[in-house]
Amino acid sequence: MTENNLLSLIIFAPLAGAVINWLIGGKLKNELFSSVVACGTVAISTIVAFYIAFVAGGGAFHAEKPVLDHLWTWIQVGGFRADFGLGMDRLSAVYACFVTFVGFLIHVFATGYMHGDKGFYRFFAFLNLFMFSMLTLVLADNFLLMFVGWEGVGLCSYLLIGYYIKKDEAREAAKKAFVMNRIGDWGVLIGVFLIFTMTGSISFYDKVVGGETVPSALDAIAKMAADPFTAGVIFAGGITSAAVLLFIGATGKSAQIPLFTWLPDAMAGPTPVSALIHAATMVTAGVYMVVRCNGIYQNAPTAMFIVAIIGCATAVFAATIGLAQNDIKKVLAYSTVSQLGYMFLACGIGAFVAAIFHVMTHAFFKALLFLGSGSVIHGMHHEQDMRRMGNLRKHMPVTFWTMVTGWLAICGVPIFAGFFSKDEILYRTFATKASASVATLGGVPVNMVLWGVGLATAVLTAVYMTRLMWMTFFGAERFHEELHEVEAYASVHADDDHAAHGDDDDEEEHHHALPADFKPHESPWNMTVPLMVLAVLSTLGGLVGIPYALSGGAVDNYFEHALEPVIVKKVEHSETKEVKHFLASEPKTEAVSEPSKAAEHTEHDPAELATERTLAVVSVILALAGIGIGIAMFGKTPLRKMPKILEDKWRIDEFYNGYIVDPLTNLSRDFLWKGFDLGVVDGLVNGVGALVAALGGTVRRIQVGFVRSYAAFILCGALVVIGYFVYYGLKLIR
Amino acid sequence: MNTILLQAISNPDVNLQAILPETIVAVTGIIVMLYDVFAPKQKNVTTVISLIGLAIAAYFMYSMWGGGPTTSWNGMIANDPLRISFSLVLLFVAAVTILTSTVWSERETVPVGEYHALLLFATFGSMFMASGNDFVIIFLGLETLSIATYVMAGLRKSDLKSNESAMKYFILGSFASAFLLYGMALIYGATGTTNVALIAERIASPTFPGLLLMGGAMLVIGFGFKVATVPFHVWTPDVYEGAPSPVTGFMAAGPKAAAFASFIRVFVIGFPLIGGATAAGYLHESWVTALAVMAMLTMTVGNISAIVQNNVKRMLAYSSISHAGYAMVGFVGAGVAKTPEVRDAAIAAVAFYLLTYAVTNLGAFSIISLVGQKNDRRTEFEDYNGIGFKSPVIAFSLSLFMLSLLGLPMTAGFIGKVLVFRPALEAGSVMLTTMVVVAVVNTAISAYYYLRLIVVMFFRERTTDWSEPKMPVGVAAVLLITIIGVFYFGLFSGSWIEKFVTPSAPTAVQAAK
Repeated sequence: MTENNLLSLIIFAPLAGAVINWLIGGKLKNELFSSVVACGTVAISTIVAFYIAFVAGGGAFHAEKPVLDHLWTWIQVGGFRADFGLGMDRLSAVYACFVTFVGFLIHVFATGYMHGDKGFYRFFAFLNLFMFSMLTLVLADNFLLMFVGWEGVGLCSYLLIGYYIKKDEAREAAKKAFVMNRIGDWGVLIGVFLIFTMTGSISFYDKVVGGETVPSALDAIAKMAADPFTAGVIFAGGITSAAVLLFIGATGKSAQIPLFTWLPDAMAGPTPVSALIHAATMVTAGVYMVVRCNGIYQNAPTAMFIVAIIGCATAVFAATIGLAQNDIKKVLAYSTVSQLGYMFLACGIGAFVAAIFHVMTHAFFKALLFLGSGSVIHGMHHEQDMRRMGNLRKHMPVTFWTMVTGWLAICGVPIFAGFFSKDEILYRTFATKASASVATLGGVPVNMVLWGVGLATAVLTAVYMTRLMWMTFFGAERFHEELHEVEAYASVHADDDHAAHGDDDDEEEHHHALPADFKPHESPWNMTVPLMVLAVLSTLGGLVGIPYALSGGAVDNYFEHALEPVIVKKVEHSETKEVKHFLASEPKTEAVSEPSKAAEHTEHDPAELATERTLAVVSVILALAGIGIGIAMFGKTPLRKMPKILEDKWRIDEFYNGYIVDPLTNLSRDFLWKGFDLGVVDGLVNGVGALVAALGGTVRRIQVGFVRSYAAFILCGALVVIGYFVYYGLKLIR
Repeated sequence: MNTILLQAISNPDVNLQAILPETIVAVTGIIVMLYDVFAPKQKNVTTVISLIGLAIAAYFMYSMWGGGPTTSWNGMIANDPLRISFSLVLLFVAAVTILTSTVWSERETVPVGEYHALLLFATFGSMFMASGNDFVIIFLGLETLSIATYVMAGLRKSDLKSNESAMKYFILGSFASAFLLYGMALIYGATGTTNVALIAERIASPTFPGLLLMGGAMLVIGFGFKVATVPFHVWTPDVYEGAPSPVTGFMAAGPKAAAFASFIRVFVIGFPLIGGATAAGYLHESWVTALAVMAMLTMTVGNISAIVQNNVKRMLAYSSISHAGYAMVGFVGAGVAKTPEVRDAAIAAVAFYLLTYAVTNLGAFSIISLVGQKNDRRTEFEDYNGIGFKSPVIAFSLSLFMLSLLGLPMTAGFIGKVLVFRPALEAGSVMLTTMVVVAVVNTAISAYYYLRLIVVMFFRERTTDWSEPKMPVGVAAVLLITIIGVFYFGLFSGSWIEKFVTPSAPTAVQAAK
């Protein structure tokens, strides 16, 4: 066990930044000061995170044991123990590095985007607080502290979605996000209780604190016998129940069916927030938790099955909605939901590393796309409707070219980051051997269905992203056009905007009528530089996970091997096959020459390699086909009418409101409030009041009661107690 | 018998060291009283003297830790974690109360020096309740405490409510003392001793078993009155509402903790379960059952009544009743503990619970005193309407105290509740588990009225003028201490709980031999 007290610096630096910005920044109201504090503290976190992950003591990313930092014992009651302790193993290292790095870029971007906002310091204080919570979440060494981070990011998300507090839309969206997350949170909490009941520990790692050995709850469950693959085990209160409960939390945080509707609404927050919280980091917390608990999930095939199905369904469902949205951020929001679906699909079929790989690449390209859209929105004076854009590549070349890399990455065009991770997920789905996923459904293996849907989603993704690119950057300039169609969505949206418009300067300004001489402009350097950095990462970031088959055998999958120790091996040949990481440069011959690694390479069965390559070609063709379809459909007619049902997001919100929210509201109002509060409680109050008043009318009284009545009351009570003891005394005599 | 008595008289076991903290508090009280006689105009000198005295006493009390459980003065004074932990809570309560009452120095004509002296004497009495290992000492401590508190409740001589409060407290308190004394006499009759440790030995074969049970019942009533359990709680709301706010805060925290200390010592240590002894078995079974039922009643009645209150002080009075119920959960848990270690941990939990309650409650009462103005005129819920953003310091600290009273995680109240509920839950009996369930349900009920105050402060419109009260240094210090305390005990409680348990096994029994 390695101790490194620097770990706490990663989380506390942003916290300090938040406090400084809140206390001092609020007084100074100086943008430069707030920017430097916010970006500086996150930069410290970034440097320390990379230092610990790759340099200190060989680096946590390569170490066998996690680097731990025990800060203090939070609660120790009997067998229950919760530490305020941090730990960085390989999984946390990946998360900590990309969260801090992408977070830093987004902070820098935000200094440009939020320029001139009255609440500048408040924004950065919240943003830093978010970084603190998120890093606590991924670096916590036990479930309880992770839950603290989990709630913390929820709170920050709430604060930041509702940042434009004068806008109804933002307030509603913040509330919705908070409530939906709460629904998921009970699942996490009860899941953690269950895990504690089963193992007597909530720690992630085996560790020694103050001479006391704390066992790992995850290992304990991983060593238990796996649950069978039946529906009944979900409610049996065992491993599967815990896994399903945790996944309920994940659906809330990571916006999966059925708790996904908050994420698109959350776009009411400032765009850097959408990029940081609702695309790159917070929403992938659910994936983190599932991968962290992979030992639990591997013993719960039923839960894995549910995860895979939900993930896959969300992927395709959100993609169809994304096809028909006109708000540039909404398209990206549904795209995020869809990509998160991919990640859960990967978890569900047992490809946990692939899921994390996709989390990382997605963080790069989705942050890029969001920041790009932010740049567009900034350049267009806060116009978000793509029907009023067009031909922006002429006005915003940097934004355009960086967006192109993001676009190609998400579509899955080779070399770009998204290709490797998405292809990996699809291949694993095709080739999975997880018991649950190869069950058959009407003669067809489930994993084939999942794979088919995954491919279809890939095509849809390419189509809607192409639509976005064309509506925004190509075609005619439509800045001054009126929108002719009066549609449900557009009119509602416009109402929101009008309501918001004309209020004071505390909010994002909306311009429906742009001035006649309006020209979009390119964004300042502090916005474009992060874009460029992210563009490079979106292009090359996938190469760390280039699989054996696609590199022609030259490189083994570095990323996957590095993360392998995180994943519990259920197949029992792990004794002989000690997993070692392969440096990207390690020659293949060496690996083969070592007998202990020979087993490793039996995995690279030529038939499998051929399949993997074929599938890669298929997905490339499909991606290009999707782009082709997109250009064919929207190249000439970017404003093509989309199916109404898609534009209305399958009317899920209406369904929830009609069948869940309204009945609950009615129940609360008519029964709990009018019935119980007004009837019972107020009745009680008024009744007592009336009684006292009646007493007061007839008898002169000092206060409420008389000493003699009190004494009588005490005497009665005393007689009861004495009687009770005497009852025992009589037994004694008998 | 006679030879022992003779030996005790001819060769008294004098150990001044053992009662040094109590002596210091008493001497400080006398100094304060004398000073006040010669300089009656002073406002702050006695505050400082009292604080210094309390600090020195606390230092000596703290330094007794780790000495191992012993007794002195022929077994009349115990020196164990139970005494030290409770005594420190009591000293803390006294010091904070003195700081809080600096609100008076500007706007009221309360005789400050007299008040400080009374408070110190009350603390002196309550410390003896914690250290008394003999019925005589416990009763002396109780009476010293009570008489001082009766006077303090009526400190505002010109205020009718204050007078009424003192009068009611005095009459009903005497009534309860009678029960207590009678109970002690009966126990003496049954066992032939007033020493708690010897009683624990002799209840296995009492001279008159019937008297034992009768005496136990009387003691339950007497102590039940002092800690304000249902049905002996009826005096509390009136007395708390009428007494000046800082005194109310003191009464809810200090005397209650002292009464708990002797209550626990007499019952948990004095009336244990002894295998094979019928009378002792019945006594144990009956007091555990009686207290468990009373705990459930106390929590429920306290909370339900608190919901319908419109006066903040009265609401907190009922809240303090329900908190006594929560503390009794841990008390009963200590009573059924199977090993001395578990028992000591449970006792420490109750002490810690009362400490967290004291920290939170004193903080809340300091704000009530501050907002209350002269003669506590502003204590209705309406008086708190909409002050949230007008006086953020007051409103946010009061909200924090409410959340801690409610038992929200990260606050002191949460850890306190967890600790007292645990021993009862681990006992594994149906009744005790039910008690814990009732306690948890009650916690949920209590959310209604604690949160109501927060809602009132932040979301109600204010119709009348709000003049923000000037905050004296003393009250600011109290707020600082209590806010830090709420978070400190909420986050880093570990070391204190350990302190409260060590040294393990305070077996007064063997020491008394």
